[in-house]
Amino acid sequence: MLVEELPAVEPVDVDWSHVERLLPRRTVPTPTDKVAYPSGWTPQRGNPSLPYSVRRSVNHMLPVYLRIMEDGVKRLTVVRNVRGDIWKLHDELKRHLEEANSRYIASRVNEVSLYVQFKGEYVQQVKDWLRERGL
Amino acid sequence: MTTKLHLLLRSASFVQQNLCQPASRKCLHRATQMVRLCSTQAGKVHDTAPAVPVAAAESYAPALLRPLTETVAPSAAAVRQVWVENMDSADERKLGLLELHPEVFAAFPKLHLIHDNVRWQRMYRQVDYAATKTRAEVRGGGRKPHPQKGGGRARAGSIRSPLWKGGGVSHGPRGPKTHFYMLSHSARVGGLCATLSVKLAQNDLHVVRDLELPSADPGRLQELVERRYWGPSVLFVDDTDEMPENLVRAADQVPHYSLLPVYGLNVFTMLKHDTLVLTVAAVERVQERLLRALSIHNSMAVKHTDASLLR
Repeated sequence: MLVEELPAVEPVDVDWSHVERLLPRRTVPTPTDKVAYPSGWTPQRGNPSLPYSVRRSVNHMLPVYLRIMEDGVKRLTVVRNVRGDIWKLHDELKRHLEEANSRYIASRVNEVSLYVQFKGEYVQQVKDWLRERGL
Repeated sequence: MTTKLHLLLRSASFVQQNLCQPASRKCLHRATQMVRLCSTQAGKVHDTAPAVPVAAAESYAPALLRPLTETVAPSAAAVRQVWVENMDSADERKLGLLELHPEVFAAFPKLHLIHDNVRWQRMYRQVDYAATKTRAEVRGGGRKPHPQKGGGRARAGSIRSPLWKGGGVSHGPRGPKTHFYMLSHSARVGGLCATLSVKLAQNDLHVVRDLELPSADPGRLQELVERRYWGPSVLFVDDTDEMPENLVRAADQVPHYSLLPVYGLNVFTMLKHDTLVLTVAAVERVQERLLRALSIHNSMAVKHTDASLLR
């Protein structure tokens, strides 16, 4: 078919926003700025006075996880992606947890994989402590 | 391009001598200036490690890519700086400073990720052609060689049983086998960031303004490399796959100088060559792509193409 025989084409203005909003995103978007979030989530504010920091996950969450092993008997609280002085963070956090729970807490520092581990279930306490410091 | 040249010329006249000027920190491009802008915004508190990658400059990003915004910019202490050098003469001249994002160029050197990437690059294309025949496939052996009883011999059903000489192999390698597997997206991205960080930390990463050589003489190129104490093997990385003609002609003569576009950057090649030489455009592109890749969740990472990063 010759180019001259092809039917005429005209551009049509279509509002695709209703389709685009349903398409999945490839990257995690930055959360909108708010004073307070209903879920209790707080964005990272940063704390330059501290010699350590903690990198948030891809979904902007604190990297504090509970590992349950040995069929529920062994519970470990892990803080991952610790930057800077990891031992300082470990010492301060351990002191805080031991005071708050009035017991000795076994812990471990891995400088190569950049995580700190506490024996027990202290995820919420650790998260609150990190949030207080803006990490 | 004109914007880039304009800023570079301004900084070149400012830093004309070969001496280092640590006090004069000049940002060359708007991409790097975005880092400055983020860090100087009032009310923002800085962290040593960013939560979300840095924004890509709108002027240098393709129109369809959305620039990412971050909640906390990297602190001035965390940001890495590198000299931009020249390639137009054997004498080294520092043309300016370029700022590098710490997430890409100052990542913790996770050796397990580097190893995983090197292993994956070697193994995914490996095909093992070893193959043996079973007793059913070996020629012959259909008839019972001798009666079950009498004769004093062990009972046998076929001359090609695995017990017999010339018989089939019971549990041998079976035909061509591929060792193809895909390393996870986060491992591949982490490996690239770790390798770039290692190269920068070990003074094996150099940034040049462009790869335009004055002549196509391989000797002159070798002299340039040796004068600056760049390693025996050098990998030149540019933004596009169409490289300047002089460099292509010169590097073609020297087997240990390789040319690579940014999209071909991989851990194995970076480790194979002693020195990495990137252009400013290549650094910007690598940074932009890796920062965007770091914000992709593993479950969303299906393909590693430009099209998949458009949204």
